[in-house]
Amino acid sequence: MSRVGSFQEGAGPRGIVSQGAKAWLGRWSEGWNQFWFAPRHSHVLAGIRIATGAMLFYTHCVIALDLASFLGSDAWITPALARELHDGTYGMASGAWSYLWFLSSPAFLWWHQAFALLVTLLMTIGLGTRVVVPLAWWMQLMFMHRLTGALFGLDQVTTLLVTYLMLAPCGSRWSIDAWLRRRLDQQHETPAGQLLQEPRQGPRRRWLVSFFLPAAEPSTATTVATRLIQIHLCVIYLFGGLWKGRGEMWWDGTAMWFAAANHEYRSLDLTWLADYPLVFATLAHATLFWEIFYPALVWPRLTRPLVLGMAVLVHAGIAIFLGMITFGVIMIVANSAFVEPSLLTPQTCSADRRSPGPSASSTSPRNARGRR
Amino acid sequence: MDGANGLTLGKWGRGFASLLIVVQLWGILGRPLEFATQGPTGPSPAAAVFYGPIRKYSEFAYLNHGYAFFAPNPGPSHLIGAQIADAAAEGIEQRYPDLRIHQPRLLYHRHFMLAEFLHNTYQPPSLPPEAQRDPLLRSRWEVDRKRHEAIFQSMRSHVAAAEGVAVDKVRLRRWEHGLMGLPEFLAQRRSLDDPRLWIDLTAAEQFAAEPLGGLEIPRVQWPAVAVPPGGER
Repeated sequence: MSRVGSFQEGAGPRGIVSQGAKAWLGRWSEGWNQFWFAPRHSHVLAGIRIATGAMLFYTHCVIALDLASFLGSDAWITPALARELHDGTYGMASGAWSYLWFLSSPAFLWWHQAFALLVTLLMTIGLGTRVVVPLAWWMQLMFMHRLTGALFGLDQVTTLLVTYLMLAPCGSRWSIDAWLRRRLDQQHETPAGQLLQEPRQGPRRRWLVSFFLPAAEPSTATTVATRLIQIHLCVIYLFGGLWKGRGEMWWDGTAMWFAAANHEYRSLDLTWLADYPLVFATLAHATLFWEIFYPALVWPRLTRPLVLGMAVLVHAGIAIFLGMITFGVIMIVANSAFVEPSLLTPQTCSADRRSPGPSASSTSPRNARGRR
Repeated sequence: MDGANGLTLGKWGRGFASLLIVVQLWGILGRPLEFATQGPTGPSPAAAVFYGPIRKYSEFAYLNHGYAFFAPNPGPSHLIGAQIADAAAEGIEQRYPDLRIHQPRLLYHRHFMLAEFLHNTYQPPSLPPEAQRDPLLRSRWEVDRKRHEAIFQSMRSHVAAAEGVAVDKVRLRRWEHGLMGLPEFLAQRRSLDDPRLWIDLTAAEQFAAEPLGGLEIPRVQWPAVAVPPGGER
């Protein structure tokens, strides 16, 4: 679009300002629409669904190892206290609520835990994803508001991932749902299956089939979910970096030493770093600047591989050396939201780009960004 | 379908979706902003106003985090030590968390977070006289102290139930495991678990004569042993 050439000849100063503002808003609107609503393939979200489902399944297994201590009537934080910590007894009431504040019988808790394990297992293998992913999200919130005091970054990130996965057809690939959909599509190619396409079968049925067994096609919902994960990650890193910037240890370079010298966190001995101050100081400074600039440098294609590569190194380091394997892994999983689906299956995406329709080249976010 | 640009949502659909997206972005940003602007008198008024309307949603959706990982500085660890009256004479104290017992690592980390939670919610048993004259400070301290006592008591009851003893037989201690500075380590090459790095935060604590909220604070006479959590069990 021409910036100047679109102004009408003879327009006065007010007209020029008005036309300029309209043009600017138009470009803004176009950019917004392309960023949020241009359909996108679901490969990456399908991978994130598998990893997040597996992580949730594992965290529920671990809670089950000591169920009574975390959820029972004599838990570290009793159900009544968990409620009081949120309901305004000790300060301002929060918006949190959980039915687990009121239910603590051992039988109920075991059935509930078994159900949570089943739901997250189904999410991982991708069976009934349109139902089990929202269920996993709901149960996750109930657990989060019950387990006050025992939570950390892992729980924050798994919750954000399952929240956004719920919005998208994340079961349309690499899932049992996708296999069922393919079977159904093959049946439609037979005379009997074609009956499903008849008008008398009704659009509602076709809609239900498409909703519960989503086709492996680019979709707007996938884009919205992916963008929300990406932006949420940017907020996490930005504030993580800004907070670190308030501490002198990240500036004098000793922060990494103190992280390594923490006996409770360490899983491998890193005290040898003491003899290499240049190494740990460089790591501290690199981490600080990487976190602060992550929200800016992760978007351009030129710098994205560097930023994501650094993310893998930092979080793998946390997993291997600081004993937080689950947190390190889930952060790497979350960062994968910045991977273009076309990198995972270039053939499919290339074919889609060649074909007309919603997945045509001009509509992909990648190309939209390229245009900008 | 918005044919020319390939968007599958119509104008009104995009407008409604945009509204929901803006609300979600507000929810994502509200709490970190408020948390980052905390000062001695609370958060910045601008951040508080910004976060206020979305606060309940942010809390319910578990978006209400500050994301201050290892910040502003990596600090010492805080652990819980639990002694049972009968065994106390032998100097046995169970540490929470304890990597030898709490496996896999995620279970250890859950216990670690509980110990940090007890420490983070700690409020001294009494206010300095000058602070007592400030009604705002005093009322805030009363609520926070009651909360700490409730958490302390809940954890104490849990240990008692797990050990099958009466609550008054359990004593909890808060331990701080200090970090060794670089010059200190280079000069002495001590173990990171050196007993001299452990501080018993409970030892110097003087409980209020009349605990708040009717909660009973243990008044059992304990043997004067100070076994660091990392020491003999």
